[in-house]
Amino acid sequence: MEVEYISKKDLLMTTGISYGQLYRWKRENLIPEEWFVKKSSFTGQETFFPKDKILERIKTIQQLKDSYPLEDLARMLSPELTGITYRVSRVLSGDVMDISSAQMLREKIGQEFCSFGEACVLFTLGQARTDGFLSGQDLERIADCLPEWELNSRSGAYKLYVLRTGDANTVILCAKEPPMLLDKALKVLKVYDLDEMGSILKSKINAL
Amino acid sequence: MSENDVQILGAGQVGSGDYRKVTINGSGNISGRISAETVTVNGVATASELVTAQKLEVNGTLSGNQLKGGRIVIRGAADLKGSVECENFELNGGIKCETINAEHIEIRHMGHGEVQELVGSQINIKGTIPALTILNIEIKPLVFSARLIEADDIFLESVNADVVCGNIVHIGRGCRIGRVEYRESLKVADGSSVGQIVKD
Repeated sequence: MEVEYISKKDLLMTTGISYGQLYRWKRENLIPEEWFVKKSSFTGQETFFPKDKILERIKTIQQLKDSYPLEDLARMLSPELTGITYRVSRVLSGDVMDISSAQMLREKIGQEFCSFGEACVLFTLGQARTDGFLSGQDLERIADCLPEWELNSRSGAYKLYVLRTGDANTVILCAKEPPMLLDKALKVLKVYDLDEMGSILKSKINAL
Repeated sequence: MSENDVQILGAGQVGSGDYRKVTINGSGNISGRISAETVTVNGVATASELVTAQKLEVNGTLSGNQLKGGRIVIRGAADLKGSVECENFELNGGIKCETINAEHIEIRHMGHGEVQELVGSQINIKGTIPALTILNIEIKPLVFSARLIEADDIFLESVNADVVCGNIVHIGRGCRIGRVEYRESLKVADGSSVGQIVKD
């Protein structure tokens, strides 16, 4: 699926925000640096943004900026940038995911706090079970791997592949870029985009 | 916030951590990531990682990486591998860095300036007139160079830039700009050259 981009100039004109606001929000981590994409155009190098994401983000900021200090907004909208941690018991709860998946994972996860990245993976695993791609046993087995995966130290965009391999279904967590090249013989049941899952998780957690 | 103050008198080192006041009078090496209420350098400082301060003041030279803070004042020179992000940035002297992203940027330079991007709300860059020019002797103009300058209000003097974008843009004397994009108003002083003008 091709991502549609909008130029910085068109963005300012469409949203009515000023340069000062755009760059202040960038400083405050409200607009992630990675959304500023430099592309060569006939006028030289120009900056573009992923259209849907940036328009939605700016709309959200404009709606909430009078109610919250920018620092708090950044923690809500860009937890992956502000390095905040969540209580595992909050992430693995019935409010965020299927209660039995939550219970299963809670038994396996020893730590009290987790990073946003880790929370995304847990949320996605829970979703995979709810969607029927992973069994309870698969979930427990994968939960055992989590400490080795050291999710805390990883950053960047990830995808979770669920594959059918013989009797059990297995999971591969890999970076989006460079894309993983698969043998046709591998049966991919489902691919979860952790950025998308992250957005859903954010809205669930912020609603709590 | 921390209650720890660190003062270097002569030569010394500041390790990574959170501080209240960091003062370097002489030569200091900031050997890790620090954050502080105030960082004051009177002399020479080197930093290898991010320095965050509500107020950072350098009277002398700073060789560093990334700076973040509220108010950053540099009287002298800064040579940074990374970028500067703050509310108010004041420079009287020279700087080499990636990007300066600040609400207000005030620069009074003597030509030593190499910045990739200067962005924010208000940007004022003034050049200082070398003494010889006052005696009417022609010498090579001292220019501050940047690839991109973007803000709501821009005033530039003795600046070379590839692209300048703003609402209210005033190109003062001694400037050579590749392209200007403006929304409300544009003034270009005599003697300065602008390659392309685009009104949005």
